[in-house]
Amino acid sequence: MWVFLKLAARNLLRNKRRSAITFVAIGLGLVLVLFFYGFIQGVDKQFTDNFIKAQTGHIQIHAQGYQEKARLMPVDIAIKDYQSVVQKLAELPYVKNVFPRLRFPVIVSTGSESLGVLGLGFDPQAERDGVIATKIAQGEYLSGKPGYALIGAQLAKDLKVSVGDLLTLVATTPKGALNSIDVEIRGVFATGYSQIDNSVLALALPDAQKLLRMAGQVTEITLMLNDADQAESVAQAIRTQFRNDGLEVHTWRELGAAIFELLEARRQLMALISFVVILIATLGIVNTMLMSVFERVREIGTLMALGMTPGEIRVLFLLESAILGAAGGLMGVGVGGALLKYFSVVGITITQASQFVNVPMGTTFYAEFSWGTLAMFFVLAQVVAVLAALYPAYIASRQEPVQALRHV
Amino acid sequence: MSEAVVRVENVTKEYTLGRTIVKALRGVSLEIQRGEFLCVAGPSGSGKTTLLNLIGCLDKPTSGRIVLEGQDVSRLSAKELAWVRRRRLGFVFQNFNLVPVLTAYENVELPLLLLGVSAAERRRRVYELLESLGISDFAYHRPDEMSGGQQQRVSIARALVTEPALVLADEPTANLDSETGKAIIELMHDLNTKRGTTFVFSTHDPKVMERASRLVHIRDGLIDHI
Ligand SMILES: Nc1ncnc2c1ncn2[C@@H]1O[C@H](COP(=O)(O)OP(=O)(O)O)[C@@H](O)[C@H]1O
Ligand SMILES: [Mg+2]
Repeated sequence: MWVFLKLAARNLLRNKRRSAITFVAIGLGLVLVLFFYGFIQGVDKQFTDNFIKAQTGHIQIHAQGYQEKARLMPVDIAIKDYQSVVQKLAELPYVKNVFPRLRFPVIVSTGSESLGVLGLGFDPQAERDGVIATKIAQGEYLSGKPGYALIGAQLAKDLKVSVGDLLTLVATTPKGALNSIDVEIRGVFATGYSQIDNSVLALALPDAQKLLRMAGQVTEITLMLNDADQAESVAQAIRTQFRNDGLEVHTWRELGAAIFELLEARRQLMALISFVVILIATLGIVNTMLMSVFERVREIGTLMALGMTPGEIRVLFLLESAILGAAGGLMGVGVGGALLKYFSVVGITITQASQFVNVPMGTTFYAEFSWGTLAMFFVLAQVVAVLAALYPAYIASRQEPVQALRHV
Repeated sequence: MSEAVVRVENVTKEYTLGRTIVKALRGVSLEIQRGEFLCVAGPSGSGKTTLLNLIGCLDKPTSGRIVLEGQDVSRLSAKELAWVRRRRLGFVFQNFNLVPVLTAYENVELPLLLLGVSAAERRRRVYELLESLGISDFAYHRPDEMSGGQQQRVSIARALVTEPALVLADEPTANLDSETGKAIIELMHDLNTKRGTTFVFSTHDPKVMERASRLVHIRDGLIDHI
């Protein structure tokens, strides 16, 4: 085997220019595919994480029938005695946070301006690391004292209000009566997600419950888990434990199905593009290998005369390609891996991203670096290099010694 | 009486060139004994190369048999023929055909590597041959750094290194000037007498024919029996 390896390596060095071209083709192709793959993976992960954090959580629990009408924010389909439910949920394995929430339509008046917006009653203490808490642009986050509210930046602008101003909130209780309270704006948040900043008014749960006359009730309990992949099994456990409590349980996958299908479609498009890149690289290798075979017909004849079998001739050419594949693969994985590593730390900033895609998303994207991905693509380069050499190697092995020796 | 190294029995060889059939050999019989220094002589196109290729197991006859050391090789597969060549035959070509990416040493070593000979034994045999052929100074030169005569010496060393039953040399002097050609034939003759290596070579040069221990004339695909 060593003799074949030596011959293959020498032959590659003989035609340095051509070997270099193939080497670079494999390497760059790999860099390209690797980079796109790692990047899309990173964007998708970030996208999913953001989506989960800002929109769905890992699991949402509602009273039976709520999800179907969720867009209307029906306050009459509520979870009673939520505190005992929260307590039980918090004891489940893998559960990191439990966020009781009360969502309701509310009219906000400043005296001169009046707007219908989305009311959110939440537990400021529990959600102190949430999208709103971490994006307070003016003023302060809620401290727990009653009578305060947080307001989206765009909404504040529309209402021409700022920190310290008073608002009157008017909402319809589950029984159909109107009720109102006054709150003071304590902070303005700018999350970067337009649908939050445009239309959300958030206040502490007790205030919301007071406004809606819904003491001890919430419309939603959102769970954050240690790992998004645990959602399904935890949801199942909850369904079993609360099967007699009239609750419905949904995971983030179910809640965001439409968006995740979109991501999946994009991944498939990505796979197609990668396939085309790989195909082009493959054809390039096939072409150069064929050239190399036809240039060396007489040499093939000589090696056959010395007693190399057709199978050994085949091995010789396959090895040439495998060496190029390994070298190009190392280069591609090296450069591509370094790029991925760099952009997994530094990220790429794309302005206007949240307008570009109508779903919550940060504007700086981070690539996903993983050794597994590098290994996978390195192996892929090997497989492609060897597959591409199969036909040229076959042509080489099929030479008749006599004709090959007559070749000039 | 010892078994002949090669028996060619009523061999014909036809080539198809598009629609026409070229009869390159038209019934050739020949026996080659161990230790011979046999010359196949004849004008260009007479069938010398074809005959040597058949004896050299590089091609198969259209009809007839070729028996190499008692084994009928006329119907073997490509792989089996390759092994016969590897173990029992050596080749010297008109245009040397050294592997361009290998040094003289490596070219001579190559057949031994294919046979799986140990490293020490390879070294010993290669150096011994390079030495006795007077080209040990060029051991680490590539073919393109050597003259034609030097290259042909390397190719002779490569043909002999496995101690084959038979060395085939198709017009080994045709690409050399007459002086060098003469030296090459002398060298082959020397190896024939000193080592007892059996040689079959072809030529159309009368000066080269002179050195043969036996001369076979071929014309229009038939052996001239004078
Ligand atoms: N591969 C081939 N295909 C077709 N014709 C061939 C082939 N090889 C040899 N011939 C023909 O066979 C005849 C004998 O050729 P060859 O054995 O090469 O003669 P020589 O070596 O004596 O010059 C010539 O007419 C030649 O044209
Ligand atoms: Mg000839």
